[in-house]
Amino acid sequence: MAQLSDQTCKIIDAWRAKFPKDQSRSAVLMALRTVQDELGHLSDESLHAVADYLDMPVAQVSEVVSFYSMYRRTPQGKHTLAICNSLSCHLCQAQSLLDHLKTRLGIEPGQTTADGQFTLKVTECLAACAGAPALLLDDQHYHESMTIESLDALIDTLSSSQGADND
Amino acid sequence: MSAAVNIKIDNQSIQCQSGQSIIEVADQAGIYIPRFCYHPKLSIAANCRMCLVEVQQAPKPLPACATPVSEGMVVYTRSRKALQAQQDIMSFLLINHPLDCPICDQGGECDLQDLAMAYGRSRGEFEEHKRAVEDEHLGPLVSTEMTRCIHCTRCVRFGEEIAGMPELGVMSRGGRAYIGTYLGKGLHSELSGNVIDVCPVGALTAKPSRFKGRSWTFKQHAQLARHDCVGSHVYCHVQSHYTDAAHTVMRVLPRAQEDLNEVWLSDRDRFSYEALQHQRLTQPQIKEGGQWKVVPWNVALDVITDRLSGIIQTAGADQIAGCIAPSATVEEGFLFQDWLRSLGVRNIDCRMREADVSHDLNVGLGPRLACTLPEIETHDRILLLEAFPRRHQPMLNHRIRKAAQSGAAVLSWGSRLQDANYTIAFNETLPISTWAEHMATLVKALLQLKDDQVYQTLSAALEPLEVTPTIQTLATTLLDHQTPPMILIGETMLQHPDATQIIAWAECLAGLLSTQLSWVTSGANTAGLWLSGCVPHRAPGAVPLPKEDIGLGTLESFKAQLKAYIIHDVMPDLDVMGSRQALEALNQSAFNVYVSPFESSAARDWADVILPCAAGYETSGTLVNATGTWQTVASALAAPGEAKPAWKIYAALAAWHHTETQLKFDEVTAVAQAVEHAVQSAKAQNKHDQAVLVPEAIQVTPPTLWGVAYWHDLREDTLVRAAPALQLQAGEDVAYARCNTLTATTFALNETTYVQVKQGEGQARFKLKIDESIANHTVQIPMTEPVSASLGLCTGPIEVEACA
Amino acid sequence: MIEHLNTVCYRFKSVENSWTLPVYLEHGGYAVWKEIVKTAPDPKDLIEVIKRSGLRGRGGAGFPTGLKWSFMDRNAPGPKYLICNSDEGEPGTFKDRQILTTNPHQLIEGMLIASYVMGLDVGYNFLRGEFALPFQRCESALAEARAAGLVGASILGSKLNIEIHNILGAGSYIVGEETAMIEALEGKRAYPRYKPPFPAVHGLYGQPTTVNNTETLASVPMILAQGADWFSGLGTEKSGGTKMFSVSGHVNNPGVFEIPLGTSFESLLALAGGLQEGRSCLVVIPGGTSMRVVPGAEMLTSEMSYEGMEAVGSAIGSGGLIVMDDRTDIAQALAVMMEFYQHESCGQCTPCREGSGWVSALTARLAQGLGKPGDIDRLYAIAKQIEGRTICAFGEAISWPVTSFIQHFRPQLEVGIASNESSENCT
Repeated sequence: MAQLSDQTCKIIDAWRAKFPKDQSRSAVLMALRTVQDELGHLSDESLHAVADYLDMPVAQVSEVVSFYSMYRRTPQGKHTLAICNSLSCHLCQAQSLLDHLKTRLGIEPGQTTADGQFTLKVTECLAACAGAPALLLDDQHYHESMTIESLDALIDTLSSSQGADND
Repeated sequence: MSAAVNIKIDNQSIQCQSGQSIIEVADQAGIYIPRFCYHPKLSIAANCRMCLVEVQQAPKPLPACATPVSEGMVVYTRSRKALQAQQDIMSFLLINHPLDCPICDQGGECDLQDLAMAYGRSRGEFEEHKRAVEDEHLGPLVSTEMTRCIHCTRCVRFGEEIAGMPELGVMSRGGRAYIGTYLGKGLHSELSGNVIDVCPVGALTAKPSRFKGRSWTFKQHAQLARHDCVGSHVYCHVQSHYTDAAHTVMRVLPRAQEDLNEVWLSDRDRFSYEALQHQRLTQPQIKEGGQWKVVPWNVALDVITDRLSGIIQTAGADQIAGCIAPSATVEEGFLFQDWLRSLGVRNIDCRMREADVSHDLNVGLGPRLACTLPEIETHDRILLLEAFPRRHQPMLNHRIRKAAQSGAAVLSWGSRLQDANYTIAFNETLPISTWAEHMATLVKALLQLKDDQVYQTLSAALEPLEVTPTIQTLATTLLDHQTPPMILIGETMLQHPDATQIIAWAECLAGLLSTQLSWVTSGANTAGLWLSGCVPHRAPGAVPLPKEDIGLGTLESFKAQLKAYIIHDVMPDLDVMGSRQALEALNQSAFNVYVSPFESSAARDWADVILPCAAGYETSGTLVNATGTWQTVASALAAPGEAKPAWKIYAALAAWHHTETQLKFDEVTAVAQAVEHAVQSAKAQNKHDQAVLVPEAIQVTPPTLWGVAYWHDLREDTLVRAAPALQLQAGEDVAYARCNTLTATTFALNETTYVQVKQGEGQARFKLKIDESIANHTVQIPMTEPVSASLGLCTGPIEVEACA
Repeated sequence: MIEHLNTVCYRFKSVENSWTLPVYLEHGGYAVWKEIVKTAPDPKDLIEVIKRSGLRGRGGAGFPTGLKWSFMDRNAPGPKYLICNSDEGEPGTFKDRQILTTNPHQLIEGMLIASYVMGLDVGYNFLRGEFALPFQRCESALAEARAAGLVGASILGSKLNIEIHNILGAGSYIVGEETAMIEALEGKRAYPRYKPPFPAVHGLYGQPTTVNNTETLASVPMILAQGADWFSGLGTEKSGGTKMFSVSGHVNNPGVFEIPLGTSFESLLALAGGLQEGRSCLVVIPGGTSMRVVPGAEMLTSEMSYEGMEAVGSAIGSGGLIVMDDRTDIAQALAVMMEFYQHESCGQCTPCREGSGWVSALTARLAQGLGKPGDIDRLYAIAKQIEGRTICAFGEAISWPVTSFIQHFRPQLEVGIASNESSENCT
């Protein structure tokens, strides 16, 4: 069974400390994100490891994992590109950006490029409507007011970066 | 006391209590409001929305299950607004529900069908794609077609709230949500079958009876479960119409009995009915020249009568012993011993697993629980001594769980850790060889904390004992109670060769805590068989016999290597403490009779006559449960072939022996009455004394390696062993011997090789599982593995070594 | 020109490093909190101030804040909690993000004051999972505040103990429903709870809890600093104070504008740079996509206040305005919205779980020109079947856009009906 790294355990403990002592279950959302940040995705073993660490039934961990959209159960590309397709972004031509990415990367939303570089996703409103159409990179970085040109430039930059980091 | 509240439902004035929900009040008043997710034993979910009703002054219809009543509330359950809401919800439930009725087992008893007819519209508007869910394999007991699921979450709440073991959860989100175990490892709770009952549609159904029949062709019979000392109430559903499956028990459901099993049933009680169709003996047989020959009943009874008479003449009735399974009914037991005692036989016993029975001489009416099942919930301290009711008496464990949830501290001490489905306050092991010493030390710890005139006299005997911090904690917790603690002694304690001493100290413990000991007993009717006279030291009515009239117990009878044994529904190679001694005795004896519903190839080796009898639900009879409640039921169906109800067999044997032309009892009901009469008359004469055991001084000896005999709950009687689905559920785990890492390291054992266990003159080889829940210096030995038949007193000193 | 633009929560829009303690202190930050800690005023008096200010919940429900705070029983046993709802997932809404990024200290101060008033022990600021930068800003601000003795044990040497923690979500819209957020904090699926019991009685871990929106809490220090009358005077009689409006869609200068309630929509539209050359306003969603849509013509004569939006048949909601001009494909817009709801439905209760999928499938077909005769009436009926039947307001969030679009733009939707009657049964 997968063991959680010391680093991950420390981070989970820090989250646990924000809640009452007898409520370690409260830390499960962030525990799962922490493990996911470290390993790239959440395998069955990771869920067991988190369940053990927080002393929860694994059924309840898997209930949480399957509910929230930011959890990844399968390996992802080096970068995830999430295009917002809610109303404001749609009104600002988000669909054409999505279509462009589908063509350029040769994949459908939910899929990863063959070289493992990019996973394409569609996401819901990012609260970036003033910068519509918007894109969320790697679950963290907002890229707003995107055009096909700026999108291409972003892909080019990400593709060419010498990313030796393997997470 | 909650305040009285006056409301109106459908123009009917009703007085109710504040804090009640509309649906509770309506149910009590006999006003039906449709519902799916609401269940009186589970928490409120309010997610199905089927129970929406109109409440005056509320802008929207409100869910009756989640709306508390208030003074002056006016509710309409059938108004236009209410009906509209109910119809709307029903139409949503049906849009993704597959039209499976023709192939769905739930058809005919399906809440969705019934409520769609009563509360739905007759036309659907949905023309999009219906979603579908892939089926998971939940195991051999519960079948699932999750596409039918309406997400009421009763099964999820059942797992969390009743089983204490969440196995089913809701996965994903929105319309893609589905219920599953996620990991696909199946359902393992001992109560898992109850999800079949709570599921209002055919998403969770019973696998053993899948596709076998339509419920409206079944006839329902009230019956009793036959495995443990609770005596859960069941319904047997017997196929009544179609000739090829006529008179078969198709399935078993719980029958509501709030004081015992509430509305639940253990898996063992639910699915063992399959055995009635498997491995049955259907013809009387005798062994002639080493060959088995089918004979008519009268021939078989003649043979038995003649051979026993012969032995009595030449060697005396003391050369005969009778062993009767602890699940036999009061009537079977009474007539069994009535026949044998009329022959002069005194060696009669229903206790199959006890190595030291001398403590039983002093037990009043017989071993009982000191309180009722509902009363278990009122304790704030529950001490489990070598008691593991979770799998062996699941409905009793359910009450302990409820007590724990109300804040009771449950404290477990034994040869393995308690695998609790509730928060347990104290969970410790001790080497089984040291029980007497540990029990005495606990008494000492209590005496140090609490002044007691009566028990201070034991101080000298307790002198050499050292109170460890663990025992100190236990004592302190026990003393810190609001109500006298419950002390439950488990079956494993009775298997201990020093049982009498341990119990003597346990009685001091009870005295110091101002409480009484509670006992769980083997099988379904140990309590009833004591009252029937099926123990060697008691006559019917549980009347104590004078010392000179007391016969030998089971183990002693086997050790004595007598000339004849009458074995009723017990397989001595699997069900007995001391199976080596048993088989040696049976092999050397002159004459043996095996009476059972079930085939046994081992029995064919030692038996001379085989008599087929009715099993479980085929028997009309009475069981007395561990709270002393008499429960009588009529049989649900006839036994197959030539098999007869056992009570008739023994009544006939008595008539045969005394050359009477009529049975003493021709109505089974009269038999129980006779026993009851005997009990009452004995009570009236104060015959049921309870003498106090006097504990002896303790010799402190270091722990030594002992085995502890273990009967797996799904293998421990003839009925459950013949039930195929339950045997699949038991899986391979049953075959392992178990010990913890420390023991394994000490004796160089590991999981890749076998462990050879030497006990007395016998030895046997088992696969090993390292299990940290087993105490130090202890190896758990699976008694229902055929190889264990060559071992004797498995709760006792052993030697082990790794072997190929 | 709008007077009092960006003066309450968004007052640091153009101030450098406004999220740091020194800058916040420079602008009078924590003066109110320090005063409260020093003088320990009667909490009841403070509630009265909030009541008089007319502050209403700024997240969407618009419930009077002072009244909500008064539901809490200071003397209830056990810990009591404040939850700041920074989940901001309502499409078209992006104002809380600005507070979290540019003014986290004012939020912290608001949380501290609220906790003092209601006798609360711990406050959780729950940010949606995608808000990585806002979370960093909030954490850094919290660390500063803690180091300055403003948060935690023995605040500023007093007997006050108030803890605050920033929490991150993991991707869910429905977690923004106050009781669903409580479930998420307990480590579970974000399922809204049925009410009663209300969070003030049975909230986080079963304890009394108050949930307030980011903007609501961030407004509190300014209200106490400047006075209830100042705040209420900025708005109208029924809508006191200012509100941050998020304006996006077919406007030239989309952004957040914190303006006095009662300002005309026309003025707000002008702030947002107006429509593109040659375009007219077709339809506006005034309060996030969960509110009823308003035809452009009606919107142009309306006033941005609670009563102003009710007057045009909608509501202020979260204040997320999406402006759609005359080139908008209405059927597509509706389908995009309904796909959002289908994706975000928690799935707990029957009408939403089943209905959101049905509505999404139907509107998708209409958008693709694959509508069948009767589909629009059917769509309307389904929406009405969902409305009022659900555990939480998500049911209305699905229903109101559908029914209001049909009510005002039926012809545009009818374009989606295929001309040939197709009896294709997809089941």
